[in-house]
Amino acid sequence: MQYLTFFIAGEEYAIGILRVTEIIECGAMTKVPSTPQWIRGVLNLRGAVVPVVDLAVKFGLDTTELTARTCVVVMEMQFGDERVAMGVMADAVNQVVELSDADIQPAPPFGPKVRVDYLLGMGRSGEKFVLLLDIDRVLAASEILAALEAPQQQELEIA
Amino acid sequence: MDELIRTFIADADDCLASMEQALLLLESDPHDSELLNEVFRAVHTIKGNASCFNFTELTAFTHELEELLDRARSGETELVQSHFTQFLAAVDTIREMVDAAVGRRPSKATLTLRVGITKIDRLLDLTGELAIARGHVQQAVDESGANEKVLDALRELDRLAFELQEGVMNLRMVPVGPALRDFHRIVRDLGSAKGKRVDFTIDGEDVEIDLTVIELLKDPFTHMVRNAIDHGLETPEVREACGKSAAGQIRVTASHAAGGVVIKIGDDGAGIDESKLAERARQLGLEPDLNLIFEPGFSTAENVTDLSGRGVGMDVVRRNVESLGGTIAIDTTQGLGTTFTIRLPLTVAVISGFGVGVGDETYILPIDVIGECVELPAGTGSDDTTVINLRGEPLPCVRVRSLFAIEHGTPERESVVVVQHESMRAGIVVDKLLGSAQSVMKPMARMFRDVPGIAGSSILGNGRVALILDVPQILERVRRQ
Repeated sequence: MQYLTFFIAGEEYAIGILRVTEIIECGAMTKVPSTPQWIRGVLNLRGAVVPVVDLAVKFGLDTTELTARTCVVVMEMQFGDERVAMGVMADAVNQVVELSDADIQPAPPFGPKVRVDYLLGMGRSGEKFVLLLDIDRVLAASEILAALEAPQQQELEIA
Repeated sequence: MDELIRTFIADADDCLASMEQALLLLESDPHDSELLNEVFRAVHTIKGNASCFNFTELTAFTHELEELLDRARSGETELVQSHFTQFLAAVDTIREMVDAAVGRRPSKATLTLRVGITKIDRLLDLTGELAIARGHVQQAVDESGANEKVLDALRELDRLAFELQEGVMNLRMVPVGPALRDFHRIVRDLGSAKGKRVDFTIDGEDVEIDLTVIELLKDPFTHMVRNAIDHGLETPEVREACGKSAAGQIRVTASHAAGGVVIKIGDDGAGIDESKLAERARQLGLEPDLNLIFEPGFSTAENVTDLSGRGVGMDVVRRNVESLGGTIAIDTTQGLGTTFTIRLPLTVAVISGFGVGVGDETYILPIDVIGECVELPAGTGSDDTTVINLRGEPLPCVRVRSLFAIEHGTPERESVVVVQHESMRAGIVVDKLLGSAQSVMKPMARMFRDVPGIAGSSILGNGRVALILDVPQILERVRRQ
């Protein structure tokens, strides 16, 4: 199976290429109020309004900075009974790799900067390893909704 | 698919539709032999076609139904209400059998409708993109020095793009009648389940409205019709004792009014019991007010039924209507009935918006809620909320910056957009006034649909997304302070 690899906060992650609908330049985003920091905002993708998430923030790391190489990996996600497009910010997109089952091993319980249950495993790509992201887990609808509910109630209460 | 099968499906659909329609009419006048014949003919046609295709189950079922109808035609069986319930259930059964026989997925009608609107929306997106691309051309021309010929061509392009947008918008408009026709059946089924007789009429079937509006109104509508049958209309006995006709009336009227559409849903039932409403208000520690029925958790129904009266409902109805940029009002007279009046913009696809800037962000306000714009008086301070003196009247004001926790320094001068919704007036404090423009509305990504203070989004001429402020909700926040 083919995987797309990209960098977030210095780590190389990979997701199944079939999940990716396109990769776009990270243009100006519009912040949506009362949403957690890791939801960076919404972007106009040829007329559609697409939410963009910053996984670095979600993983407890620094905010992804906008550079000439920053891009958004757009993928289809299941949200309730709807399929929605969602973008994930990446410092840079690296390559497409072919990984067989034999190339993939379980993620070690310590080491990576990200929670182990967010990973499907580690893939050996040449000399190095890439982290296979369980994107359905990281961006599960339940998790997003919980994050949206928590802060928004208070933030609109004006002192 | 085989051409013959396709004809079979089309015929069956036609027959089922006319059968359902005729049955609903026949129920109020069971002696109309022409209507009965129409039902018979429909069943007969389906049976004939089904047997041609060897759909044995369907043939057997329609055969039996035909026998029943024949006995009614000869006068052997006197048709009563329970027969109609059976016959209408048979319509559904036949529909399912047809679907099963031809391997069709049910509810195909709505499916094609959805696909249709998606394609139209795509066209609308493209007209928006066209405007953005045009902006880029303009910029390039400005930078490289204006040329009269190019400018002329650009103006012509503008005109065409505008016409194109208008044309695409028109594609979305559909008459309300066909969309509301399903309600004949819903009303009939609910009425008979509650032992109530209901006459349902629709006036103004030709009035056109945005397809999205109709789609989004279906649920609120169903809810209001349920309410009317469940709580509004009395049983035939009670009605006759009050000197009313045994059958209750539910009337839907659609009409055009100043830049929008007005839809009224009225019943001639018992109306809302104001003493009960007042008592319920007291229990909750509130002032009695008819509009309380739009508040979450407020319901005067004594018994919770499976139909309505769970205290959820009218608040959701109001929220749905407001999310379409509309308003809803109630009018009730005890003993005479209740009428809901829904006012809606003609389309939700494009709004006349007014852009404001706060920090780096641009927000859009629907222009029809804006009264005027004034400068924030110097020395007002930088509190989150404040009250200013607007020509002698106090005006409560709220800063968008605080509302949305925008971390960006407050500029030296700020402006106040005075907004009004129903009887509530307030000022919304922003950094910059950017002016009015037609904005193509975009539904918010599903996950953001409940974000407070935001009604939707739109794409600006520069290609960026701008959020549309939910003025009624913001005013509500101000009122609660």
